Amino acid sequence: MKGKSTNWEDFVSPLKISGDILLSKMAWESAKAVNRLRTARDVLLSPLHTDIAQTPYDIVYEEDRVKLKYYQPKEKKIQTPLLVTYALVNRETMLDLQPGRSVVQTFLDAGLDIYMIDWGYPTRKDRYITIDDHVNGYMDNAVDFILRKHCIRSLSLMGICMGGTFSLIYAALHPEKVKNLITTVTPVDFDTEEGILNVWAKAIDADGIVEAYGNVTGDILNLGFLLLNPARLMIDKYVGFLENVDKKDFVENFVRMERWIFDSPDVPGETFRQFINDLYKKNLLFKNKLEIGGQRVDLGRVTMPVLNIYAKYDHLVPPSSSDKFTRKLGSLDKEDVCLDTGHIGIYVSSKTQKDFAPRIVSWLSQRDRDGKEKPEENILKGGKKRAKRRSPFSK
Amino acid sequence: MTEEKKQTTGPETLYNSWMKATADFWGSVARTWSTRPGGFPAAPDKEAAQVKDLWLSLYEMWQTFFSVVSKGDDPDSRRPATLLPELIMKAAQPLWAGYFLLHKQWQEGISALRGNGPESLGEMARNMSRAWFDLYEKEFQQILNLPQLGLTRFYQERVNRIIEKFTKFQSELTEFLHILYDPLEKVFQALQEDVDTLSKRGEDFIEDSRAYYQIWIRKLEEHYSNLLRSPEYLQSLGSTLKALQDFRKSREQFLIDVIQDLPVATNREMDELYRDLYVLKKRVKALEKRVKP
Repeated sequence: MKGKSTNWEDFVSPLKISGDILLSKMAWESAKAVNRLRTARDVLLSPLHTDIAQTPYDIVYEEDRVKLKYYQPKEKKIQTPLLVTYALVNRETMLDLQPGRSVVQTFLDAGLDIYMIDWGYPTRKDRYITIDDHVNGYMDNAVDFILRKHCIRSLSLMGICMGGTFSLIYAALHPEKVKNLITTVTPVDFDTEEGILNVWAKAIDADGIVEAYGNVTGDILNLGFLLLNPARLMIDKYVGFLENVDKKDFVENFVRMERWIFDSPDVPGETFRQFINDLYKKNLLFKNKLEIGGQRVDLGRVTMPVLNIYAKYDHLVPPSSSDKFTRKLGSLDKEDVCLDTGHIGIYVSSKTQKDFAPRIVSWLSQRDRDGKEKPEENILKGGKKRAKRRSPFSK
Repeated sequence: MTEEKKQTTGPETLYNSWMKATADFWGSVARTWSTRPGGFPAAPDKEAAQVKDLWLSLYEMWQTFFSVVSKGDDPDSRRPATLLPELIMKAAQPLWAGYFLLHKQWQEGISALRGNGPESLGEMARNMSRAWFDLYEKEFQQILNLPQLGLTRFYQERVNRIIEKFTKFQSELTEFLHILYDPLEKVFQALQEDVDTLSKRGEDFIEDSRAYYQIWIRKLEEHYSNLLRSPEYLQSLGSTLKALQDFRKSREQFLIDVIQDLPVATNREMDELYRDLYVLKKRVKALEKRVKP
């Protein structure tokens, strides 16, 4: 920076670039922009297909605001059903963003029964709901429902981001109900300065926010996520949009992503408070000191096969937050996989479509075949009859 | 009864006498307090002078009002059309004097904060907003913290509190936004310097404006990456969130006052109900699990 000056011209003078070149460039680019805007007008005024989560599903279980979605494969090839637990921030629709970029569709094509928890939109009445209520309440009830419906003793559990943390806690508290555990971009070791979110979380007063807001609103959380990288997320992203606004496919994909990103439910206040204070600030889960519903969460109790996938360029859950916890697990069959992408890209980028979901399918199929417990041994005797009686939503 | 006697005992004369006696009393009070050596012993000279000015202003306003109202000779003088403009003009004089005094103080404050001069436009704007909020804290905030009396004291306190907290939030938010704006300005300057350097070396800089943009956005990302971890940013983020929370809490209290007489449940009441509901549901679910294993 130059020395101190109060001369206004120093602040506002334009870039000193070769004038002729710049002017000719500007003229050419202006003409190009006008043409682009003409096409863009046609694109934006034409009907755009921007719906997300188009794969059909049934709601098979409901409790308060929480719903359990069921995606049925055309042909069942893997016996153990998979329950997917998404984060409370944003929505599970990200796994089924658009045809061709749908983790759900890849799983269905592989013959997996998929259940997915839709946490819904918490309102002020949900402000007192804790992590215990989510894990030992909603999740456990959903698991019980699926186990009854399929007449089995355990299922495969897949957690995403915060949902991965919930899944890990659940697997430690109820190991007998989890046959396989998959964690994706899951924060467990919060004692890291690698991610800006980790730095911020330690600096904020979660108690004050909860007292003032009740629930933490999706808009505030989204603003926080945008501020993690304002240059890219608030400027460059929209510059990119304007540069491609004349391409219909691009616009449709962009709008789909925007619809998903800003579809952010509020996070129940007490859950937020606990997540920030016990996990981000005190790192209790990684230290095996976290207490949920009066029970200590011991990662050593996670003895089932574990597949842990994280992203190298994740700006929300840095690799250092995800790459160490498997060492603390009691499981002998565990695998860490680092993919060359970001937090969201792991699910939606065309680059990882051939790597992420197919890898999970392959890992699950192998455990379905090679597990100590044969698939048929996982079935409860006389269970079908019982499940039919107790599951009003089962088909 | 003679005409003279009528005048001395009439209501107008009585009124004039009362006005004059009141004016004399407050005038003497103002002069006595301002000249008395122990009038305001604890106050520094500047503050004592301000209080004195205030008293004298009020006294002058009273005199003005009195002189206009008590012009009994001219029957037209009591007509509102002639009385009001004169009254407003005379009353406005001390108010304008007060405003100019305040304005002078603002300018002094801003000049003091400027010091050696700002480094940039952003810094200049930041100094100005700091000066304004500094002035607010010194001059206005104290008024909001004056103890309230009487039956409505709690309500008035809550109104004052919401004004105070809102202003505090605006102050912190402005500071926070300035911090966020800082990288933008620095990157523009850095880019300009890069171009200057290349130009001086006689090298042709990149012709494509898209390339300039890429350099700019990359530099901006780097600046933000450093800024967002800095103690200054974290401190400002924490203060802004705290100020927002305080404002929301005071607004909540104020809204409870506003709607307590309406058939509308307040958030506080609903939260109590939600807590009861939450506890009840949890107990029912636990019992249900025990009954249906």
